[in-house]
Amino acid sequence: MSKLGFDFPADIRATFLYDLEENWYNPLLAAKLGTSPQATKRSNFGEYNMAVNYQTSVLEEAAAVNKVAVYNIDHMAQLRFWGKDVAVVLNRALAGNLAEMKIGSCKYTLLLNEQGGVQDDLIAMRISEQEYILVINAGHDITGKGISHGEETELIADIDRIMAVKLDGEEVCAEDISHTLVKVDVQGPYSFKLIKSIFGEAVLKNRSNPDKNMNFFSFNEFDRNGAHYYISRTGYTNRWGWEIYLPVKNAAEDFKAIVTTALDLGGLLVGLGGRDENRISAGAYGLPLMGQEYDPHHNPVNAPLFEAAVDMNKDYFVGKAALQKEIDAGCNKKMCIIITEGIVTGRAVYNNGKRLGSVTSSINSPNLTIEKRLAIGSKRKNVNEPAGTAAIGLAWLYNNPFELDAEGKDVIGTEDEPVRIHVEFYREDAEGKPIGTAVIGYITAEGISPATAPKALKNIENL
Amino acid sequence: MLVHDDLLYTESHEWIRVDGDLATIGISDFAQHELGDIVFVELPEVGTKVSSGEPCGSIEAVKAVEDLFSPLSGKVEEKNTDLEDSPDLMNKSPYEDGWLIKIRMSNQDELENLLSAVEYKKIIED
Repeated sequence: MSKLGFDFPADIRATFLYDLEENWYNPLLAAKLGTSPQATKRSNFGEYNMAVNYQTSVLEEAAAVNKVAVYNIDHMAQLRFWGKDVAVVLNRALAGNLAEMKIGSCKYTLLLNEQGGVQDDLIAMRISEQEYILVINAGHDITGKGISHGEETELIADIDRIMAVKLDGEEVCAEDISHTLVKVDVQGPYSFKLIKSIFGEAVLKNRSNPDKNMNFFSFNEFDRNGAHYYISRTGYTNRWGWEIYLPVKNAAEDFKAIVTTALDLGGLLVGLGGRDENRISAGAYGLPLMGQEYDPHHNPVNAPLFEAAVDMNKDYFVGKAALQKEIDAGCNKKMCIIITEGIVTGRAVYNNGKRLGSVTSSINSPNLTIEKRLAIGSKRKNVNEPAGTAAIGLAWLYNNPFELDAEGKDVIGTEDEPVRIHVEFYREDAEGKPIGTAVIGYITAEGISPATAPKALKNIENL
Repeated sequence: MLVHDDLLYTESHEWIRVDGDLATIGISDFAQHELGDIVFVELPEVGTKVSSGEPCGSIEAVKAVEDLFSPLSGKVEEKNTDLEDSPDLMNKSPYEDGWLIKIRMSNQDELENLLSAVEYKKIIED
């Protein structure tokens, strides 16, 4: 079978919006801030040269989601699958039940390997009975060998992993359509107002009931200035928001309009640093990220959204047997939010000398209240100041640290008295023994900011 | 990025200003820019013995925490206590107000292992 994934790029790639970020947004922002333009801080994400933060700090950008945040997410890829047997093949390749999806709905699901490890997480959109678009992580569009972050790497693109499960005689076609679309996310309470002012209110309506707003995890299609758009009520921040797929023909003008409006509303263009804070900080458990909380060597059992992403009632999907074995063995691992006095990336979690698990993400946040920071019990000044910071993160623990109620749900406390499990974070030597001084913090499920994403749009439509 | 000609440097982006047997240590403009907003710095106490190439503290920015390596051996004579309240001095003034520690050197031969401004410029331009 011929490969559909792209060759490993010889040079790091630039998104469609790269020049606009550097030569349009940067001067615009500098003028607004009254400073001279500075270089955008960039890093390699999926072989794309992406902004970590612009001239604004990661902390300012992370806070922007409380108004409206715009993200260049054009490094993610869109795959189109179509044909008579498309639902059957996708259901075999992916952990979720895509055959049950309604036209116009979105679904979060996982692409696993036979060992149950996570190859990718993705959003599926059902375009018609026989057509889907999958939105996948950056770099998962490459099949081949190359040097990434200084190391030799061999990749298989999602499109090739999926088409590999197609049986002889099944009719399914696949293509990567990323070059035709430019993905921009708009999230935060003013996102409704922003989208409405640029694209009109109709694009935000429920496609089967235009008197109502669109539902969480649904999408619309529309035409504008001679080109076709997709807009989904989804996003990676757990806040109100949309992911917009701009047709490349109109993308430059649309991007300028979106960013200009966001700045007028007190928002910002936010780099991947701020976005990292945003995906950890909303909701009780945060959102896992491919390459951090998910990787090909670990199964996703008990991850947040596991039940939404994986349908264990399906007869078969790649990786199901491995997941079933893990579940039958009584897997009790848990992914939890941690609040710490400093960054604890790569450290292990200890409680009175017992190793509980390890940290998979950690970043300083401006969204932690002073009350949550003081509860750490840190001696660090920056943690205890009214306008200070502490770090938030995610850790995988071997066992659920929370007690269970009669219904089997985690006891996470009340708003006044949340359960906070105080722990220490140590570096470890080559033999896995804790070394150096501990960073302190606690495990919690009280959340840092509310997950507004599924809440009714009437809360924000008149802002 | 600003590189001061009268300073010595390390590959791990510390700068060193030498005055007799006293060496003032900081991090370079390049390093502070790479790190981004610095929120916390942990420095060795006055009187602590430090060894060349060994970690002696840490610098925490919004997204990352980096070890601070002592470029020289000796005893810590003074630490910049202003950084406890204003770690952002390292961003605003990396070569002046944002200095970290002063070390009374025990082996001045180690200065020969450090980089000149010209050599350091080559490293950060690569």
